Amino acid sequence: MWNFIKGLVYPLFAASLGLGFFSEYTKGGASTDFEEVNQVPKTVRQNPGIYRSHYAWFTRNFPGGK
Amino acid sequence: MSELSCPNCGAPVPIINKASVYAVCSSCKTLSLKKDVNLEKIGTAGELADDHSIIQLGTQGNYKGTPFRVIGRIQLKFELGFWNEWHLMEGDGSSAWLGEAQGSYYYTKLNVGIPTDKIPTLEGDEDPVVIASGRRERITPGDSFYLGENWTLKEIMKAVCVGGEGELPIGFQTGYEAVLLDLASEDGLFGTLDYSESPALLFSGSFAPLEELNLTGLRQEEVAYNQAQIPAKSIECKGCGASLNQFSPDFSKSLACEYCGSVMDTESEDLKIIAKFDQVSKDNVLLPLGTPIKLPDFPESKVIGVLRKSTEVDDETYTWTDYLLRYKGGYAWLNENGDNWTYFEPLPGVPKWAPGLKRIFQKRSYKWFANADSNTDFALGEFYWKVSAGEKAQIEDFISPPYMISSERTDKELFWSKGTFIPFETMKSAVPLDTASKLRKPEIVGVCEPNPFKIRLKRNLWVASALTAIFLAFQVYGCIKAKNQIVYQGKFKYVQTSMPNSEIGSTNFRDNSFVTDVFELKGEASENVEIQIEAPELDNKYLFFSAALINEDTDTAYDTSIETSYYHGVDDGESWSEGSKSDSKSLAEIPPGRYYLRLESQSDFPVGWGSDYNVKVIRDVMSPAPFFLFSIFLWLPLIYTFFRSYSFESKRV
Repeated sequence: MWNFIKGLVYPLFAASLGLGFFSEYTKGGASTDFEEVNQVPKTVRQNPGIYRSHYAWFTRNFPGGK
Repeated sequence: MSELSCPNCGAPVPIINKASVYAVCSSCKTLSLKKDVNLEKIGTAGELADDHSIIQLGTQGNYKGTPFRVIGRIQLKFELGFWNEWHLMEGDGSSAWLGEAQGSYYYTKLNVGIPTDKIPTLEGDEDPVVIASGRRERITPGDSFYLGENWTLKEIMKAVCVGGEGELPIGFQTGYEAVLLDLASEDGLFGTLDYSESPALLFSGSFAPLEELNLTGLRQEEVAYNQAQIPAKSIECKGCGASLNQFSPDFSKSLACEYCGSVMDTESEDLKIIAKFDQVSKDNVLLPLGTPIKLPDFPESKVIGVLRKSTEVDDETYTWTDYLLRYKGGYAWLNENGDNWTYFEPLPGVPKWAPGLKRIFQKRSYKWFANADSNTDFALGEFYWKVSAGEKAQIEDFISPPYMISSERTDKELFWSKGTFIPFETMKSAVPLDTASKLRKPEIVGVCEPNPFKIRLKRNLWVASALTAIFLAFQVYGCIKAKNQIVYQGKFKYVQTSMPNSEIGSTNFRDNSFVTDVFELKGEASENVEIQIEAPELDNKYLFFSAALINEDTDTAYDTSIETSYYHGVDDGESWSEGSKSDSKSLAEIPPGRYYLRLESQSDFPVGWGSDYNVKVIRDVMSPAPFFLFSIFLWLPLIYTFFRSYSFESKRV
């Protein structure tokens, strides 16, 4: 029984990799390490500094300029 | 059928086959030579011994589509007991022979195609010298002959003719001794060179399993297939007086006392002692005499004999135990070596050699494993030959787990057997509970124990290969299908405005963020976007970008970071480099719409210095990364399994 379970480890591992690959494949292999933020101020086009997208460093704030 | 009269007693002697030249009168045992329509007395046949044969005159059968009828017999006595050569008349009237010894059957015919000058002649009985093609050579089992076929000598034996019955194509004399050489070919053929005549007669054919002979008209049907058990006998040891059981009186030829080591000839009425083992020990005899064995896929049997054997390798003595099993219609061996169990069955024929020191038997290739000299240290119980102290043999093993084939060669015989590995749990359930409780779990790997890692490795190799192929197919298709549409590209210049090491957002940081022109992303919401930044002139510096892809209509931003960092130099005469002048990030599932890119940069350039860089935004890209990443992960465990498998193989004992 234990040998049978041990024998399943690799097929399950391979199956999970298969699913992972397929999931990535549907996204074109694109990594998803980006953050989606809604309601970005409309004024960013005029004043880019209003929006801080300091990815992974600071909490996002909208201080309104330099 | 003609019926002649016995020249001695006048009793009717039926002659069924026209080819029969000799006949034995069933009433007075007179052996007669057929001359025209009369019989001429030439001798008297001895009384046939009751050898418990299942065949009798009149038995009919069909072997490989050829019907036959048993019309005569010559009985011989040799070292292992009695041997019958049954004379058969086939459907077309031709003669054939059915050899019967120790429950094994050999269907042969006289081979007349060999020129008589090619048949080796023999000098001496005890230690025969073969003279073939003008060369005199002492022969031993394992030697090869070419007689229309490549034959390997399996056994040299001397047989004494006991008597005969029925009608025969050849004559015989009771008490006549003849040397017989048993041969086997790599193609599974069986042959006998019979030196009772000069030149010797070659009979060739094949090993015939009992069930393939389709016999009818057997001597007592219940005995025929050993349905009736011959009861055990109680024997008093001639050495120490102990009371011993003889479990298989119809089969065994000698019995070794488990108390004093005396070996008695059970064929002689007075049970004379024929050998004695100096040391007898029941230590580590895990299956006592009489233990019933019920192994799946093998006939139910009983332990009737135990042999302790040993070999010396590099001044170290290795011992193992062979248990002789007797079942209805045959025998087998159970080998215990380091608490591992292997079931051995006798093998007809000689397995073929194959390149790479391999043997092939029944289309299975066996790899050479080991050879050694074996010594019989002591014996307990009964055996089908006259066991003696200090018996030596050369053994050679070839493995193909869970099977192995093993040859045991003595001066007189080459014996091949096929072993099957018995897992510990199976062995435990095959014996009574009290015996099972004494079995020890093996701590070493058995000679032909299946390698679980090898099996797993083979299967995992298939899984990994198949998945890699599928991954590759998807990847190629994905690359072909991807649009790779450049939706924006621009050239910019970075100039340092902050003091070195100022972090983005800190008070010393001078914001340099800007946005690009608006561009349109078309296509499906499931398509991705890749942002590429390349700084071709970057030299021992980094450029870090906080990037946000912002949808002008929905005010949704997709934030990420991109870093180009390239450093190089020479250390101790060795040049080195790290990083790259370009970087990219793929953002999955970006809905179509109008977008612009907001970029904010940071670098280790001194104030006032900087570098040009290019920005490119590409819609619907297929990255090769997942294929390589997932494929590598897929194969990594196989390296581990390979080493486990290799380690297991190196532990075989």
